Amino acid sequence: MRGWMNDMPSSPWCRMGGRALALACGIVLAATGASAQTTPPTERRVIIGTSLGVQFVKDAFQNTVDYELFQEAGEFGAIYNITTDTTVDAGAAVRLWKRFAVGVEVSHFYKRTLAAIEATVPHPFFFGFPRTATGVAGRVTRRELALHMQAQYWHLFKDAVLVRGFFGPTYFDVSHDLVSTIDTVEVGFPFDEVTLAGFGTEKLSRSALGFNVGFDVSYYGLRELGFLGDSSVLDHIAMAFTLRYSRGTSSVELDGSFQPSFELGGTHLGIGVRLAF
Amino acid sequence: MQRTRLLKSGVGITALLLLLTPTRPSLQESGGVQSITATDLSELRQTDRLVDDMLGVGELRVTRIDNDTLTPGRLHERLIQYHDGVPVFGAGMTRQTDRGLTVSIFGRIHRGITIDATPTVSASAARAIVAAHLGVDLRSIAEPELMILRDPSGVHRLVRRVRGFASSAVMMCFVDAHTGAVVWEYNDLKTQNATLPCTDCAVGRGRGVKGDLKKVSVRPVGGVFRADDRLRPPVLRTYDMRGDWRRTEAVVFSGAPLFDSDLAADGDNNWADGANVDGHVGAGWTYDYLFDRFGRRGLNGNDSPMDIVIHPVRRADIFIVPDEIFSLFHFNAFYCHDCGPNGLAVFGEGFPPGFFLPSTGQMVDFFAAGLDVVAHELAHGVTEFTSQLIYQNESGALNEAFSDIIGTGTEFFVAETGRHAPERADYILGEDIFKPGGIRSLADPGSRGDPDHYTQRFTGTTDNGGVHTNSMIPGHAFYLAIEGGVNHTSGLEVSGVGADRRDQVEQLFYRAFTLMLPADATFAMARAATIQSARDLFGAGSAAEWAVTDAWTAVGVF
Repeated sequence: MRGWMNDMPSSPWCRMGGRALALACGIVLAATGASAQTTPPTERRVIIGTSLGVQFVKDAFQNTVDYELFQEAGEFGAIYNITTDTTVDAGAAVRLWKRFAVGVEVSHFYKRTLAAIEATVPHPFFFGFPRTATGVAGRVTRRELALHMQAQYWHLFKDAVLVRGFFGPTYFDVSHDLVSTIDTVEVGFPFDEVTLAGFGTEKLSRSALGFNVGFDVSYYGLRELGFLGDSSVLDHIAMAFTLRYSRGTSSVELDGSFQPSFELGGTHLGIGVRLAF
Repeated sequence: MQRTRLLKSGVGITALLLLLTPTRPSLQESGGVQSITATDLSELRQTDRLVDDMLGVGELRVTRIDNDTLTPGRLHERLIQYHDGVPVFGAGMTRQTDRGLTVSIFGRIHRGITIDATPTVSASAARAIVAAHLGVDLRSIAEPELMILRDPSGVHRLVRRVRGFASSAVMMCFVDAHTGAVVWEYNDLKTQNATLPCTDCAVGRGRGVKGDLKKVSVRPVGGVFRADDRLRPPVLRTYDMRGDWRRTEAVVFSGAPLFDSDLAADGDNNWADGANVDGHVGAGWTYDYLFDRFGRRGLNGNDSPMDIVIHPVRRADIFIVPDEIFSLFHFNAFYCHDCGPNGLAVFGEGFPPGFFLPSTGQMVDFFAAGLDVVAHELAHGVTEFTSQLIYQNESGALNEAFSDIIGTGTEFFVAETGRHAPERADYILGEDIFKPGGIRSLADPGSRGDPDHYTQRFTGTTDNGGVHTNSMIPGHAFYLAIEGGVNHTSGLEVSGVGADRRDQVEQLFYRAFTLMLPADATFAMARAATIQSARDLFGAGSAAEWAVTDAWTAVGVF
């Protein structure tokens, strides 16, 4: 193993130029110092990384809203299906003692979806004789920011594969568009039909506590593969695969009526880059 | 029974269908009037030729052609008989065609008219004669019509027909255009006899006379809400005369105008006047029923305005108003086709609490409280715009029967489709007004003293020849065709189509009465027309045809 500090000026990544990359290289160099050059991953103190992946989600819920029209109560419900979509996350871990570490990760999940609306609309002429109108609300979004705090255990396989198991609490901050109003258009006499012409949404922001558990597998043998060059910087860079399951629930209220809870988090599968120093 | 035997004898289907057709002659002549009920092929060929011949020489003229809203592709021509360019009162035919092929013809043609069609009495003179005859001012009355009348003695006369408003009646007077004599008259006032796609609309709520909650379609104007329905296609207005009987009288009988300020109104759109609520809502529901069941758009079929009048008199004035005002504005409801710009339905005020009908011990509530009564009166408007059944004798009884049928149908439509759960549908007329018991029963006419069989028909001259009592004969046939049962007089049992198929019977009666009957129709003609209508709508040999045929037979009409 060659010390990468001396090689830095000739490192192909650092030579490639680009202010950002140079800054990254500089950060790595500054953080690890001269003593890190031959340290195996399990003995390094700090790992930072980022991943791009998918979050497997299957959350279906409905909100219902009561309203008054034509002197009578009406009601509509919107059904939301939140399904798998991409996530990005970034995190850092610090080894505290032997193979035990603590880490923190931030993940961001964003989903634009549709909501199926079904409304019972009072009839203009008769009490208790509602019509049904259905429609789809588009551009309904859920944005989920999660802060995963983790206790980690690091284990190295064959000097290059670092497996980090982790678990811990998760703090979720979620915002979700809920259909809060509908616009109906009467087709006309005899008013047996009514159509949905529009809808309004209300963005709800809530927070919740949950948990996360999973593992991260990172491969630090990139330099040995050869095709990325022979820079010692590669000793600090790993390709990584992460599997994390997180879960939390949050209930919301809309216009005073109880709403079902959001199921937050999900199974996150990501690949990314780790820097260890 | 005869048909049952035919079925058992193994007659083939084709033969059976032919035997179902009436076998009596379709052209019956009596006293110079030829009744025509042509529904089978040979009769149609003969009658069609007669119609074409008469059209060719101008003895018949087509006055209107209606699309059949219940049987797509069918047309109904209404033809009026003329003699020397002058219409013959009550004479004419209706011809139903299907893509050019004639399906049925009903009518009455007057034969042997030889009179001179040149009048010697002018129109203004005829007006003066009627004015003197009735003792009223006729200035606001439409121009008298020249026509040929077959008077009660069977003699054809050239007459001028003048509508005259007497204080308690709309009299139809016929003045001999040669002698100036009033040769015939009858009261043309149709009565319920005692015996949100718009920007200027809103929906309020109110409680009816019975306390049931209803939605009220209104128009907001300057901080108040007026009973002016803009949600339905026609303008539907409810005028509240606030008990001013003199003004009501002026509006109804002298053509005094109604203003926006006369509309029933409420300040907070939470309506408290039960009669206004019931009348306004009931008129709307009647429109809904006609549209839903028959595809009909209002009284004239083309969304003409519908105006009704509530509170024509104060209840407390019951002992001080003239008898005719009491009779019309307290104790009756009526439809007047010539009142106001669009015709008016007026609903009486009833009796003050604690007063009862001496003859029956019944209390009499607001006439607008009865949905069947509201629909009944408005149905007279439908008749005026369609068959114009003459309000006298059998045609008058058919006119009344049609209104009872529409009134009953509206009640069932609202109650049994979930549109208004508190409504209780039945075959009794006016049960929400004349309490207890109502005034007529389609199910059991005899229970209210009305005939349930043709042999028991009233043959006197009062009540325009018993239009409100003889109407129970076709009305009972309507009931039997739906519900089935035994006619108390004939003892004949009828298998009705069943309540779940009442719409079939309603449709076939509506179609026959509005499109197929001539103005001077008889009960026999109504029988033939409804049977033909059943065949047209539901097929020859259908349950509906059997039911209506048996029902007419049970009530003694052949």
